[in-house]
Amino acid sequence: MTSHKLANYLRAYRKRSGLSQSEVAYLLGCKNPAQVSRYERRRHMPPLRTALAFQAALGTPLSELYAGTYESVAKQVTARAQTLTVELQTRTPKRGKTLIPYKLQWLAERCIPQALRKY
Amino acid sequence: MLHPNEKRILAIDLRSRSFGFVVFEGPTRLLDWGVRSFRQGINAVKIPASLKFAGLMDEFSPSTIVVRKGSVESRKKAGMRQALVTQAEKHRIPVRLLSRRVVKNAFVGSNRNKYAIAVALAKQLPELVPKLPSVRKIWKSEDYRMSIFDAAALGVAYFSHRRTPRPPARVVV
Repeated sequence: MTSHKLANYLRAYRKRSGLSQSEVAYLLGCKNPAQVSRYERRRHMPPLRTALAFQAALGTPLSELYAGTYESVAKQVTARAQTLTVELQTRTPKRGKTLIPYKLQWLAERCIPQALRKY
Repeated sequence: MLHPNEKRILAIDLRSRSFGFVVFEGPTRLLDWGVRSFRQGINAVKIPASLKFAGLMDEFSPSTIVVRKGSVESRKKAGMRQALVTQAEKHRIPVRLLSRRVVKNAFVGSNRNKYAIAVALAKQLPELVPKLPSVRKIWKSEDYRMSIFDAAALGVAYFSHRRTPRPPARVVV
């Protein structure tokens, strides 16, 4: 039984807009409407330009269109940010000591969710 | 993880030669909807119903499948129901049966007929407005798109049934 987010919500947002696959393909600049179907069914991952075109065409941010993928990527980044924080705290550099607190603050504010912060 | 109120469900309305489906993520968010038909004759659909059910389950991995409880049904429809249950067991997805009364209770103000329920659904879920068929004339057969609304009604009823607190159990002295 799964209750995680789907890897992408392209079909849901496209159907909500009322556009057909071939119309979206035209907006994206794809020659073949079947390509849109492949993106929707998670057979293929679109290149960056096409992904941004999806965002522009459907008026929804990529993090919502690819909610499941974004969630898993964000989780990995958070885990790496925690590791990096520990590494930075133990690091004793010869130069640029003032930069370390700035980096730690950045990581804490942007990359690590509130619940996982230790300080 | 999804919030418990954003549970993803697949509501299916079974007919003898087709089925309508709606995928919900929470009570107000629709992910997909449509009709899969199994025509006979020249334009016959050769893909069996079980494969179509499996495709939907693979694509959306719902946590529950909601189907209407059927009392009297044709052999074909019973076969479809069996195929659905078999696929659900394979995918380890529970199947929830809802009676007609539960569905009607979810639409208190508009429980006159199917069309009134469909109109209420179109108001509640504006994505479905383009699929709303015109009022049925008595000499016409039912529009095939009506099964989308029947499936959507099942989904809405499922969520409202879950939200309704159960009456306290009677204490027998």
